[in-house]
Amino acid sequence: MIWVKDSHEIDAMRQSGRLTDALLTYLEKQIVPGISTLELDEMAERYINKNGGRAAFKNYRGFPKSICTSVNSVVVHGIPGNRVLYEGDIISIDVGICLDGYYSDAARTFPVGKISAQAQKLIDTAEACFFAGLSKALDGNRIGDISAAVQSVAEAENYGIVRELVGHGVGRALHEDPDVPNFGTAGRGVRLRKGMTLAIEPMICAGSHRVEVMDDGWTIQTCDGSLAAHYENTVAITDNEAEILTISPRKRKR
Amino acid sequence: MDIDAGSLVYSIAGRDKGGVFVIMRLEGIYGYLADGKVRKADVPKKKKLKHVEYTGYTASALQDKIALGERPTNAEIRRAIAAYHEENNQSS
Repeated sequence: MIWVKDSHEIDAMRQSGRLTDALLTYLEKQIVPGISTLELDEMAERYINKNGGRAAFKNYRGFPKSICTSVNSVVVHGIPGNRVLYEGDIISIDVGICLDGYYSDAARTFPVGKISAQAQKLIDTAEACFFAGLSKALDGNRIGDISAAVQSVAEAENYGIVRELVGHGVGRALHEDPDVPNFGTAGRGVRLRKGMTLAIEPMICAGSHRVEVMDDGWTIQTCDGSLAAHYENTVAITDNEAEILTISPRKRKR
Repeated sequence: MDIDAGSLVYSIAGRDKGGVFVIMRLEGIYGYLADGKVRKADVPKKKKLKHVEYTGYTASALQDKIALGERPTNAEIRRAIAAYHEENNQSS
């Protein structure tokens, strides 16, 4: 069942989203060669708690940490640990915060030091996929319009789009209806409506889109070892363009 | 908060007090309520909005149907109310 949020709830989600954005901005500055993913997680958890929020991933379906740190060929759900970051790595950090009962979910892929041009292109394309999907996130459109837009941007660069993982509604819970796939047919799917709050999260890979789950039960990696990038924001459907709740107003593009 | 067609509300007065209903239509200070079970979609209960309390949940699927001029089926109404209960009566 898809629940529509009213203006008070969107306000609450804006607060939650703002904290998520601030956290990601903070973490971006901490990324240097030599730092471990565990240190990033600890910094994130302290930051969230200091600001009155709760790390939504921690203990969610058993996930042991507060953020997902997914390096190189890991697509999503990397568990922070002893993995040290090296120059040339790319790391996707996925963050979920619950503030005053409302959840926001966002992810970015960051470079560690200097990275290859191909890696940078992958990261930029993931972000472009998101914005293409965002442009279709309008009252009256359908979920399929978002999905098709994301897919076309990724496939234009011959990148693979992960099928098994999808975006989702978000708000009173970390994951709500509806699913927001990153591939699909325009004109199909649930009708988008003002007040819906969705997490749009393209996940793309340099090689084949096939992925597998590792033995820890969480880490999802590309089967062929190719690099993977992830970019996610929580957005609210409005009368006009969708509002990105997890990017502060100053920084919003377009 | 903003009650609209498709919103779920508690009845806080009358024999149906305590029940969850879907707003089928708004008319001034009144709303027309249905639960798909005892109060069906074709004979909604006319109730003053001051006698209901918004749950905070509005189901987009029902909102859409009503906006298009169609009437949600009783099954759809029951499903929305059940989904609301499932999200809210989880013991932690």
